[in-house]
Amino acid sequence: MKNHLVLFVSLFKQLFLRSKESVFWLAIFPIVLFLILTAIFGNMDENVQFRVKILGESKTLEKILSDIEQMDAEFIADYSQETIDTLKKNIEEDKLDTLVVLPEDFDRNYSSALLLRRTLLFRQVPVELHYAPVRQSSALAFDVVKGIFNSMDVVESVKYEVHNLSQEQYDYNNFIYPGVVGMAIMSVFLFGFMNELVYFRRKGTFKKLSTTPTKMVTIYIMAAIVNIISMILSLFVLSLVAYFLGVDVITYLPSILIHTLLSCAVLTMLTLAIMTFSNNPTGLFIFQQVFLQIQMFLGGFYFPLKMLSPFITKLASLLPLTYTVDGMRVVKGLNSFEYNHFTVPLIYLAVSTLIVLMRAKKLGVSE
Amino acid sequence: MSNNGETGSATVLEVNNLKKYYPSVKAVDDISFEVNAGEIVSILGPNGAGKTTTIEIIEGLRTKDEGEISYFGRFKEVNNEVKNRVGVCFQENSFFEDLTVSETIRLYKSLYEKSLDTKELIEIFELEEKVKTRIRHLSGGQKQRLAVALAFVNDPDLVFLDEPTVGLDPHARRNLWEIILKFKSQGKGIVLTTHYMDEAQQLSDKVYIMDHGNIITAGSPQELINSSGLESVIEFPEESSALFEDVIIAGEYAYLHTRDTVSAIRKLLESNVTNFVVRQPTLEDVFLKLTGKKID
Repeated sequence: MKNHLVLFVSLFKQLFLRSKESVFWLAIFPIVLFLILTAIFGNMDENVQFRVKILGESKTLEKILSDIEQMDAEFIADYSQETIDTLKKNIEEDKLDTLVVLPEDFDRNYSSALLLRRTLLFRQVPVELHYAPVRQSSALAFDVVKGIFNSMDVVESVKYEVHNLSQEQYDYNNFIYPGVVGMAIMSVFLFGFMNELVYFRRKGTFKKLSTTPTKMVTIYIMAAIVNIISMILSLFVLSLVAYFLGVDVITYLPSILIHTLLSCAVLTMLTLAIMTFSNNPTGLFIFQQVFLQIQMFLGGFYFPLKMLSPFITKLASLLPLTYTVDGMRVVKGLNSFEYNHFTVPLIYLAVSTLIVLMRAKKLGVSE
Repeated sequence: MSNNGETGSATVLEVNNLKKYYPSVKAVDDISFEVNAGEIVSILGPNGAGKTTTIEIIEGLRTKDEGEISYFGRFKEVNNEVKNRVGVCFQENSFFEDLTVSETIRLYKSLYEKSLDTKELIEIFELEEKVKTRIRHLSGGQKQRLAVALAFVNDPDLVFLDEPTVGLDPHARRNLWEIILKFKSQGKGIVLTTHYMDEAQQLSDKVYIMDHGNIITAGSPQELINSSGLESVIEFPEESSALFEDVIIAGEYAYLHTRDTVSAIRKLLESNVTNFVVRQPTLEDVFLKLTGKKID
């Protein structure tokens, strides 16, 4: 037992504590990735559809807006202050992107202004635009609507900004958090665990260890445990950052832990299974890159799978980490798949374990 | 021959009719040898002779096709009991580079049932000043000393040292020879693979010369030299090699093994060859005569 502890501590120092590569993959990379993604997409809605309501009536405007595919525009004839307040509240709550308040008889005023624009009697037609500039979807909708009025030449847009926003909105930060966790797991096992094992195997470190009474399988298991513990420590740091960025980490915690442990087991056995077929760094590099790219882009890490084509979704459903990430999102209702999130990873685990057991000799250090 | 490996003169390793064939080459072709406690046995041979394959089969890193290996007169295979009594230093050693010297020694100590005292080991191999240094910051010579130290960490009865002094300066080499001889005097059987002929000659009780998977000759260094029939060796530039019939050319030099030294010198001087050396034959000359190659 004592020898296992010394071996574990030694591997922990070598593979995690004192390894610059590990610090990058485990701590820096996921945090930087998380910050970049949330900075770029953090305020973007799931669907790019501008929700605009127009107080007043205008056949001219109706026609223009109906030609814009992404514009979900609705005209409301009720000019009461109560209606205006409700619609402004809708902007705060992210139920509406932009509110347009037209003057009464907008079409008649607009026609008059057009006719009189080169005379002293010309007056611009004032239009009120209410929006939330800090929310990207609202700011985009505002720009589109303002552009329309600018092109109408005689309309003056009067801008009103709404800042008192409600927190209850579609939150990309909450959506992306499991994706970054999935990415960190994949990086640690593909670029950490696999590379380390191949490196020490090829360099002869494991060959020397295999001349001691310690079994190679013990060394592999210890290395895997070190990686899993490192992964959990990394998750702690990432979750701390996520918490301060408004992610509901507490709700996520149980499912993140369960799915992380399962995916760590899957990737450990998958790595060992792959290593029974190849010890060649070039071949393994190709495998790592192909697996990473397919899993990362098709696995729904960064955007919802339901946005993708049925074929891609079908392909994604064959990949193990798709379920890790989607499974984590279930607790927040942000998942794309409704079915069991454990079956496919468990199949990967069982098949990989079987391969490792059948080809265990290939994990030796010589011949 | 063996007496269970428990006393000073016991056979710690016995190899009989060992064979290892690969599809295109007979890597080890029916070789037999033994190593006694308190004895240094050197295995010499040119590259590809089968030395490493032989040693790695004995160490349990490769499988054999045929033959029998007996460890300490009791064990027929490399089990944990054997591993606990065997030390290994490979030609190319690799460590966990981010561990310190003391952490590395502690790691390897923990993997065996018995071990030498860390402090003693560090003192023997003169690594005191580097105890807290990470291995990636050690020089090549210091790494080599650590590698040899690790071969002795479990206080083994049988030690395999593959090129233990490679990369060391002459002073450090001689220091390591003294350490190896000290361990030998404690009754450890040592199998040495080296390409330094002076090292083999100085340290070995017995030398086995291998070529093409076979042991082509064996004996103590002096026995080999005596039985080679070499009286003296004349070393001269290769371009004058046509003067004699039986010369061995290795690199820029030609080597003439002769009993008639006076005639050979006269012939060289008559041909205006003056830059030659006449010396007593060494193990290297025996090796050259038997294999036709200088060891690389």
